[in-house]
Amino acid sequence: MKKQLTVLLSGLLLLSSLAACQSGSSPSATTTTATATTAEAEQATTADSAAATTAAAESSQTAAASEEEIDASTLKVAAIFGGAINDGNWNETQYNGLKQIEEEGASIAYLENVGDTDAAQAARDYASSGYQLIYLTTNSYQDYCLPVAADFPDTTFVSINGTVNQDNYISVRIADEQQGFMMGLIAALLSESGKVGFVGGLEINPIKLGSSGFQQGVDYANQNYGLSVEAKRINTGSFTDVNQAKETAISLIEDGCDVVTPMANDAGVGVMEAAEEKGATAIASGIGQETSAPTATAVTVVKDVAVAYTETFKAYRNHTLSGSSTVETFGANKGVVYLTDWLTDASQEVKDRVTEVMDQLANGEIDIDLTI
Amino acid sequence: MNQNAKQFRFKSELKQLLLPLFSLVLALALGYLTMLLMGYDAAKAYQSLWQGIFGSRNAIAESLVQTTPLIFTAISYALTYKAGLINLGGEGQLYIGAVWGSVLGSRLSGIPVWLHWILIFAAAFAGGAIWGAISGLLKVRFKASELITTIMLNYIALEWVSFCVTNLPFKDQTAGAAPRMPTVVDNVKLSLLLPKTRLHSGFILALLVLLIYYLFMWKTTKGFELRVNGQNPNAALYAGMPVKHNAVLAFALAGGTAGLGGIINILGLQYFLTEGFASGLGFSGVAVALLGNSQPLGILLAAFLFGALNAGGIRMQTAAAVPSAMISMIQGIIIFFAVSPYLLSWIGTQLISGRNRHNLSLQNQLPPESAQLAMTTDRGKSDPEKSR
Amino acid sequence: MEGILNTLTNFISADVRTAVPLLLCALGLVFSERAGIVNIAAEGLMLIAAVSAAIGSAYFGPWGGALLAAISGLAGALIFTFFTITLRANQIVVGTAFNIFAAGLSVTLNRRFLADVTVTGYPLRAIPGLSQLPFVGDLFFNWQLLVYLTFLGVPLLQFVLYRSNLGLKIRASGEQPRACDSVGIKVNRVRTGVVLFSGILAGLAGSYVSLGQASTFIEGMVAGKGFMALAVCVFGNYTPVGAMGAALLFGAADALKYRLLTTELGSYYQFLNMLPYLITIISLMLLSHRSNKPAASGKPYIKE
Repeated sequence: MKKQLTVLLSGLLLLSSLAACQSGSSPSATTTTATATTAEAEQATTADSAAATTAAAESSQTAAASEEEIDASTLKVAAIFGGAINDGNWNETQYNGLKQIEEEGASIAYLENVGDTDAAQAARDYASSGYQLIYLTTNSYQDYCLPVAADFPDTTFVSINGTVNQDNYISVRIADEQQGFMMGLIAALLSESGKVGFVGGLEINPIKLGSSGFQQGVDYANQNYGLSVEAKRINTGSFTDVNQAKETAISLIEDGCDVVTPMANDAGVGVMEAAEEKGATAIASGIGQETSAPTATAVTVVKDVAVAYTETFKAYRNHTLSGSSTVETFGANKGVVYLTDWLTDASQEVKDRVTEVMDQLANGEIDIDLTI
Repeated sequence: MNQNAKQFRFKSELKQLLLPLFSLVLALALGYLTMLLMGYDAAKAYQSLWQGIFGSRNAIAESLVQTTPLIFTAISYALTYKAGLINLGGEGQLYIGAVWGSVLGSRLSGIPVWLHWILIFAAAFAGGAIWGAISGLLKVRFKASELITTIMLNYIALEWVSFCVTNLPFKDQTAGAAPRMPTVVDNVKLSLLLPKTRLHSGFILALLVLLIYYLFMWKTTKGFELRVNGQNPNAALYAGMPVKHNAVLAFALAGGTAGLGGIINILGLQYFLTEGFASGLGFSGVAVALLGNSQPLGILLAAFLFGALNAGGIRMQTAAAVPSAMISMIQGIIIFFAVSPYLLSWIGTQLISGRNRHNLSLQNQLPPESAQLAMTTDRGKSDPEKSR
Repeated sequence: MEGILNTLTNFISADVRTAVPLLLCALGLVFSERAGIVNIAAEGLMLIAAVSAAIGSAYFGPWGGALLAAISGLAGALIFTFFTITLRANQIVVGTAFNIFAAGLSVTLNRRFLADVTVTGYPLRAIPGLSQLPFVGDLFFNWQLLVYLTFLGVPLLQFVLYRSNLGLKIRASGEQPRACDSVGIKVNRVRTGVVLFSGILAGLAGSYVSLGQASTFIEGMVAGKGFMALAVCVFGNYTPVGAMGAALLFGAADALKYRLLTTELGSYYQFLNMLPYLITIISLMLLSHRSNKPAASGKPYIKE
């Protein structure tokens, strides 16, 4: 009896859903109609975006004519984070940027720990509820959010570390490799054992760039200052497993590395603790990380993504955000990558060299290879 | 079946439906209180949750999008559960299936699309099935606890996926691409059911697989054998059924189903495999299967509940600024109550316990049918099959 | 020679650091498993305890951390027993639900209480005299208090489980609940008791993750250690001494993994990360023929 009921119901449901998609239940039939609809949709989208572009052009003309800055308090700004906003690193500096936008008067909203697939849905939600400016905080959102940007031509999307620059989708590149480069350079200059270690988190592009930058920083020191320091670079595959990062750093130290550096968001704290406990030197890469290693931290190489937020927000208000076809890089030149005060007494020679290279980076005099 | 029995059965059917509903309401009420306590606008939160589930065509589509993979992982758990085994490895099986399917899906672009689909689905099914069968084999050959081996195989699968998205020959070699596997070729992508939403025909495939699950488990001899093994392993042995063979088969089918779920999410939604694209689907599938009593219709409804909560949860965050952490808590609370069949009678006992505590034992308050909801509780005793 | 000894002591220290939280949690799980309760909520219990420990330590010092972690473990276990024993819900799904709930709760607590405070980790307690011994001193006698207690607890709990009346009742509740009932053992009361006990131990294990292995709380830092503890319990064949062996073997696999990471194999870290899980599976295969798995494992007991 019950069984029959279940059959009946499931059958009915299946039938009705098949009927709902209407165009027939055989897969091939569904496909053909659907392709048609997709094509239609595409056409519609192209038409939409074409209209949007003209509209945007018009509005920018009028704006250019009036040169009027948009009042911040009329703006709604949202950000979608891939991690936790308190990770002391990548996400936290961006969250601070969002906070600064709020201080300027805009109303803000954000989502954290959003998986790649859900990002599209979240972006769509924000766009349809009237947010004019949406920050996408990781490059892995790009593929999912580009179609959303096409559907909402009046909303501006800022993709941190994205690679595409078109219409209302603007990418800015954060110079992860410069942070890595400086960490590598300082590590090499401070090392006495001739071995330095880098602990990365999840093997995503920014971390790979940072890791490659670290190697190049060490190489740069070797070439220019006659050193022969070996760089050991390890990824753990996690941004949250502190113990894993810590044990990895410990085994690096036991292997002979006397300077270790983290680039693993939350988990980076583990690397700092390892240095503190094992008497090695650490170079911090995030806000507040030095408190986990008060005696071991030499200096922090900050990558403050907040700068990219305030700058893009300002540009948006002045109608200058868009148009450029190349993706702008935010690094030492913009004050995104910078050094804090030294916490241990390194020799003046080391400090001078570091300052010199930092300036060269900011002036674009050092080329870092971006192949990963 | 006489009239009385029929009536009783109808009543208990009703009760089976009402009980989860009551639990849901209670859980939502608790969630409401928690949100108030934490200082959030609870009314607005639920309003936006509702909006996020049913509020628009797109919202409904999103709910169904989130429902689809859960149906597969739930079947993966339910199938083994019915056969008396525990499969917590749905997530790993899903990932392995997705990897195998993606490898084929991004290649062979010249061949006819139907053949391509068959090959992709076969590969995904085989990948998941092999991953599942390992646990089955370890179980029958070495008596290794499948509870543990499936969890371990999940972790191994996750590491393998992490390797595939970052290393040759599996990774996408497009310059500047995030770590992922190559995009599947255009003509194997599943069509959309509703244009301008993300609802893809994978949902229909999920319903189809659910139907096959039903037909297999309840209409075939093999399915019968599996269920006998689940209800009474000794009887299965005594009847001369190939018990060990069946256990491996159950795991292989379960794994294969999960693997199909993985590749369908790739072909219909993702188009390429990234690390963590199915994070949490395995354990949610377990909850869905148990909440749905491992019955096809139950799984469908429970999967929709979970899918809707996921979809609406996003809206709850964007519109009412309730953090995702809060949503996890509410989801947990809902499952707690929804899977507690004795909740109503327990509350009843508590209310009247002052008067005659000793006269009421929990047990004799219950109609036999609702005991079935307890699932592990003396399985078989109350199975409708047996009363025929 | 000294180099080899150094490598060895480093290796064993890493082994112990990894093994302690797994062992501590597994010791509790051995008892609840033996009484017939499958507690996959261990992961969530450890997570909530880890954040509670950090909160306790930030406001009241490490002792406060330990206490708060134990209390949170107990509270979590109470929720678990209410649903699985009182309401007889399925243990696996309640465990799953608890883990989802715990993931949310730990983040909520972290944001509310740990934003601007400093967490102090468990201090090392060198044992006077003994810790001065060359090599073994540092290896065995310079740990946090909880580490000594964990290892001292192993023989004690082994004794309780096998040589005491209480242990007999616990094991009987898992093997023959109905027979137990007929001789007057209150099965559900025994089961509730052991789950609460295992909750406290899981709580302390969680505290070691945030205060022993590190001195901070990071969201998601438990990262599967609760599930590993469950594996340790099973692969230690449901005995405290077995669990110790299993935890140390697992820790050794982990320590080996970290050492291999610094070699050329480091770029294949994913395969190295698989090591502990593979070793667990292989050990389960080897252990197959003498299982102490209780007959009534996972089944609610209903008094008739």
